[in-house]
Amino acid sequence: MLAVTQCWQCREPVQGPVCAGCGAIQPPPAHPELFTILGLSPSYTIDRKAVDKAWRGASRKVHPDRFAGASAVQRRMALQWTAHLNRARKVIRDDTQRAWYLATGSERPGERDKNQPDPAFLEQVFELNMLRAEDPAAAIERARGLQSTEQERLSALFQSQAQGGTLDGAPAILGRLNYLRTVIDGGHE
Amino acid sequence: MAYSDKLVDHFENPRNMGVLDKDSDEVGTGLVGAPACGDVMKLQLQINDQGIIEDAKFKTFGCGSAIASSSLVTEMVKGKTVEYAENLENGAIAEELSLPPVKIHCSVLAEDAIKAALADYRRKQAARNAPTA
Repeated sequence: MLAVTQCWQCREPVQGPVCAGCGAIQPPPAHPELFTILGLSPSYTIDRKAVDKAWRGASRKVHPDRFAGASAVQRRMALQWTAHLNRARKVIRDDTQRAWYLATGSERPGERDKNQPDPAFLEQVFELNMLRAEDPAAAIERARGLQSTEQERLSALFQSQAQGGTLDGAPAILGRLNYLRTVIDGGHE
Repeated sequence: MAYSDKLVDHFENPRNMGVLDKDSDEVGTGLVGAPACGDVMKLQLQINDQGIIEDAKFKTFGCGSAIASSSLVTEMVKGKTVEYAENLENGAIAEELSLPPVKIHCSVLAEDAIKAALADYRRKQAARNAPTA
């Protein structure tokens, strides 16, 4: 649930991005909870259609066109809300980003994340990268096999969280998924 | 984003690409990865009894900056002492290649790979010098 604040314009209590009383758009929080701003509850299991529907509904309320005649400050707030909502939809729809977000509060590991996978796994990734140069199809197939194992582990972890377990193991699994994705996509930016 | 000529040169003509015998007592192998981008870097050092790095080889699966960083670092440590390699910092690599801020982590990876290779070499030496029971 979004917190109740006081409208900056009419001083009435307001919950959500737009004041029900005077229609003024409210300043968005700097780091909004991504599920909450779409009106959803945080969850690893999602229904993409429901996410899109929630995003459409929320976006309509703060659409910059709606505030085209309002002050420059309100026009800027409409843009900020829209950017938050678009980011929320993107992160929540993506399995990996959503999992990172739920487990750590950010969408991906930091560039200086030193969380090294165990040496045997790293060796395996190295071998798969070697194989990819000679026989891409075989390397991708093997990587996909490992990928689905890790994805099952991740789902199991989120299921156990619903019964009181922790997500402590998530970053390690997500890190391994990141290495496997690079083998499958063959892309290093 | 413009990359320096030196970086492009190391990427297009990588030095010291290849492998050394990982089972040799004289060879230390370091394998490190960057979870953020999925890059993996293997770096090997061949070290003689006087503690001089006689040879260095690498194989990197990663972006151009990661390849250039590992190529440069092998060139930097070849012929130098273990102490030199130990004290090598990523800043020297980043500066030499004029890495942009978003690619600094590639030079960190190269430093980590050198340290991992030295640690592996030391492990082997300690095992060799240990009295056999």
